[in-house]
Amino acid sequence: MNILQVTELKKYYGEEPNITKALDGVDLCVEEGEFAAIVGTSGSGKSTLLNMMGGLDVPTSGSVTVRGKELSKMNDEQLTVFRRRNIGFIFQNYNLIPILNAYENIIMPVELDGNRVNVRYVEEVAGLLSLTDRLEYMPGNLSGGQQQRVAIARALVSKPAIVLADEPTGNLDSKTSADVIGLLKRTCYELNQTIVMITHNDQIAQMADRIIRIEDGRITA
Amino acid sequence: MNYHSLSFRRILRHISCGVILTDAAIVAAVYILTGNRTAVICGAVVAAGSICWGILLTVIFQKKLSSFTVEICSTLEEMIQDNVQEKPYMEEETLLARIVHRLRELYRVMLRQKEQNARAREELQSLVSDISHQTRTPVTNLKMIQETLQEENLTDIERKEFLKAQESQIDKLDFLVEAMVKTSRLETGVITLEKKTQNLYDTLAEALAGIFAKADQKQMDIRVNCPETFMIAHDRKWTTEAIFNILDNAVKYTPPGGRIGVSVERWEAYAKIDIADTGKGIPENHYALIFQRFYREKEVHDEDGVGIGLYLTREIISLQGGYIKVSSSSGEGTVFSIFLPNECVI
Repeated sequence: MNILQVTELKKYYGEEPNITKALDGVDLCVEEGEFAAIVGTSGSGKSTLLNMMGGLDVPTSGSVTVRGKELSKMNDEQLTVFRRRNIGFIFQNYNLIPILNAYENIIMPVELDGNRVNVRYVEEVAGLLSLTDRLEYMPGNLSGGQQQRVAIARALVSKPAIVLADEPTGNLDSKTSADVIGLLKRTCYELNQTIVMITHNDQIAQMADRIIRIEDGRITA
Repeated sequence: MNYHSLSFRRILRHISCGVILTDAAIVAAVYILTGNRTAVICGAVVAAGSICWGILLTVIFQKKLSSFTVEICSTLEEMIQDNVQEKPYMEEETLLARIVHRLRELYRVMLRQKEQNARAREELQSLVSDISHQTRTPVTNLKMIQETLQEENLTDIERKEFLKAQESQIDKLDFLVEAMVKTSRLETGVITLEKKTQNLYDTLAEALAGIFAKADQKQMDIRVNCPETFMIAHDRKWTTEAIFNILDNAVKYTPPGGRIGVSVERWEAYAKIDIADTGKGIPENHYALIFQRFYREKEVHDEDGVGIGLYLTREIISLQGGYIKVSSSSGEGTVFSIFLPNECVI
């Protein structure tokens, strides 16, 4: 079952003759439960692609469909709600809220949507990410790897259709990176979550089920 | 009181009666206290007005409630008929959108389970067909040898050769059956791995014991770098099997005089077991293939083996919540890294 479909996606900046083609006709399908890595050098358009998938940016042409909904057909307000319910984000710099502890950070998206927190599920996710004894800590007192794991738990706890990770290990050393991605992979496998991850690290990409290479705004393999 | 069996209409009737009676009582009380007719009329008008608004509110509320119920029913109906339609109100901050979103999630979970069941059945079917396919060759060979042996005009030397060939085929069959019994047990969930916190050093020693003789024959140098007490939750019997399979490959595909290195390192979430050899290496585009059932590299077809070891290894490791990685450079050797989680959470 396709959970994410990208068709003929183009993003151009500027106008002729000084046009920059960040994305130049990208076609991509991600199946449910898949862990896909997008690999490319900087400037290859991988971040632009991820932003489009998450509805954070508007394409010049083409479409992105998540769970059968075309993102460009929604207005800003609808998009905000759609993102909150269907897309989980993981960023390079974690983006945790410093005045909330790990647990409060994790349950934020659920509370924002006005739902009651399913404590058992939060505990399960935290357990899978080896965070059980860190839930009371403030982000400032956690290591980089732990902070990123909290961010992963936050992205997963609202059971989104798809998790988009933008260089999740960009700020971590190679050991911690492998640790974090190992846990991410296992957690998603256990919860049958779909992930699309951007990375420029081949070692990290190797842990994905599928590697998508992008170059000059086009998919090469 | 049983709220479920109380109809909305009856509640309404009772409450409106109550409101009218209370209003009448208040108006009467006002008349008795003041004796002023104008006050009574004003009071009655106010009461009538509020009753009208009250009725309006109730009617609207009833309409909303019934449309809410209709929407939920139609969503459920669509799910039953397996024909879920897009709804224009899905991205709103309303209770309806939230409930329908949840219902859809439930629907998807059920679909997924259905798919998983179908996949498990397919997996089992392909396992059965793999097994029958793999056992056919040695069995056919054995039959042929048997027939030849039954011929009387064979010299002693020929007979011995055929018996030798027979032995090797029997060995192969034996190995195959053993491997496949293990696989099918693991895959069908007959076996549950028992994770206990125990010393990995002993497990490693057990796995290494299985390859010493062979490695010695090929004059290989084996180095192990592991603390003597390294406690981690794992299933000893199966983890030994997993590590042994990698080591066995390392011995098999490394030329005589090569080196095998095993090292263990504790990371924050995982313990890493590296098994490095100085063999011929594995090309990068085969990294995923080598873990497939019955896959064998083309160049090594003359070596013994059926291509099930690494597959089993990966199954065993992932059943314990770990994962396995390979990195290799052609001609220099291969490193398999097994990652086992430090904490037992499953």
